[in-house]
Amino acid sequence: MLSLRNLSCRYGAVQALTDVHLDVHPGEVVTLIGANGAGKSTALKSVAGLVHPQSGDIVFEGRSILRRQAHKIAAMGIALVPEGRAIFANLTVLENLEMGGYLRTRTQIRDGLEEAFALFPRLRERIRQSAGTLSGGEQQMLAIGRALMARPRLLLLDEPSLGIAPLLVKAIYAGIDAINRTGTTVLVVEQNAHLALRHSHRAYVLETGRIVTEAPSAELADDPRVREAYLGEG
Amino acid sequence: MTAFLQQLLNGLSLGSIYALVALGYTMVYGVLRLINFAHGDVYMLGAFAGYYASKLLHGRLNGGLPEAAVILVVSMIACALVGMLIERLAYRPVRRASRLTLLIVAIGVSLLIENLAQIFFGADPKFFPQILPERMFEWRGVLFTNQQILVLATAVLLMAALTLFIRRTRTGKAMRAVAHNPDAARLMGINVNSIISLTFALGSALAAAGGILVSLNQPSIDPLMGLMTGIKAFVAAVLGGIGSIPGAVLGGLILGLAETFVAGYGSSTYRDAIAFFILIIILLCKPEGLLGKGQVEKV
Ligand SMILES: Nc1ncnc2c1ncn2[C@@H]1O[C@H](COP(=O)(O)OP(=O)(O)O)[C@@H](O)[C@H]1O
Ligand SMILES: [Mg+2]
Repeated sequence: MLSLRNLSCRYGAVQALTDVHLDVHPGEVVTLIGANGAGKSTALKSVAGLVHPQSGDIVFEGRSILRRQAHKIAAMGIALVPEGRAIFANLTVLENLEMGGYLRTRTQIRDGLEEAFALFPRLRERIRQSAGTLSGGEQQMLAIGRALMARPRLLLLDEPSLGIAPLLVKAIYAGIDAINRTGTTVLVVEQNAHLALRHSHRAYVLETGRIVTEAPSAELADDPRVREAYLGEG
Repeated sequence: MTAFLQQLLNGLSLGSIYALVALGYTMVYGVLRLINFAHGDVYMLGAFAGYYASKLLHGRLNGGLPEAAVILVVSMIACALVGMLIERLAYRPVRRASRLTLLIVAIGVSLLIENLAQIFFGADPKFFPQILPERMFEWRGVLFTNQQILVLATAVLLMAALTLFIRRTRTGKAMRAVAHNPDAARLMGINVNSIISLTFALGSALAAAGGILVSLNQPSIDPLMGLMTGIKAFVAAVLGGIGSIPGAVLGGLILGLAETFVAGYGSSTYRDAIAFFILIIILLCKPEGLLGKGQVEKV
């Protein structure tokens, strides 16, 4: 469904990604784990069209999306929940969700709202509130709900657990599982490898811009090297 | 008391013009973090567009409100196009450049328009046709003119329409989303370039309306008429909190009232100085402006 081929990306002199290969098949939850600065966000931003890699290719459903503008990639069925959530703090919760459905019709938006509220009931209680007043966890729920309003076939999540109270992290990952069960393909980036490996089918490990390991998540969780480097054990 | 009401009316009428022009500054700043120094010149172009439109129309519509309305609409559309052109040709190519570059480009565009206008329209003042002959009314000793009423009514109507558009429509909400975080807006499928283009179009159309409304009252128009009004409207936008739409309206009204009252009760020598006085005070005491939110957080 999504394929990163030989992808290399630089910011000026900083090489963020080098020859990255990564595949996501329909229906999967794939995770990309790696330390801070490994290049995880760059990989997702490249797919979403927010940064433009220098070489390699990104293929989505058989078509290259490498040089496409971000709003056109969104229209193709890819939604990114960015790191730090990037909700529209000056809009209400409802307006944020409406923006998620920017390319959809009124009725589709109405149905989408119901689905978002079913997934994260807290959002319904806060619907008229300015989104800037939500807690971090609630903002993350809003950011995910907003991305789902577009009915993406591929959902990209950038560190959804970052800086969020443990109880809400559970709710958010339960939500991600539920989203995947409805048929949405998910690529999730995490520093928190424990969490990511428990909630995914396959995993890639990124180290300073290079993919060093690829394996089923359950297998990787038992790998001594991974345990040592990313699970704080060994 | 009568004198006070008289000044109040005059001040509101002047202030609503400043508000219309200030809206363009604040809207463009909202989406691009750019002070569009050419905005005062778009106001001037609005007046000239009205001048030439009325020349073309003359004889076909015989004055009065319908002609004024047609001229207003023609001028607003013309300036909307000019605004979009300015953005496309001057600002878009340097959007990612440093703030200093943007500032220099903005000043360059302003000078270019002023000089082109002097070439094409002539440097001498022109006489804007008196489409609406002035009529005076009196109410309890307060004198007001049909033109003042027209100015106030049109300004209120346009500002109400703008507010409804920005608060209620999908595109208006997208405009607010872009102002807050353009990258996140892109991820929603919003074409940020179109939204920025539209922002310039709306702001420029409002400035054109200001130009027409002023010219109906003070018929002498010239290619540099946008300088002082542009600066004052900019002060109004800063006073209200640049980036804030209610702030621009509030700032415009306060500035209009301040000028009128200073001229009425003090000395008209200080009339133009009051804007700069307000600018200095606000920059010292509350640089984010009355309704500004301070530095917008960028993710
Ligand atoms: N906008 C940028 N400009 C310059 N360097 C950047 C930029 N964004 C990221 N980098 C650098 O690229 C590398 C990868 O960053 P990033 O993709 O954010 O990593 P991660 O998400 O894994 O923490 C880091 O060295 C980071 O400092
Ligand atoms: Mg990151």
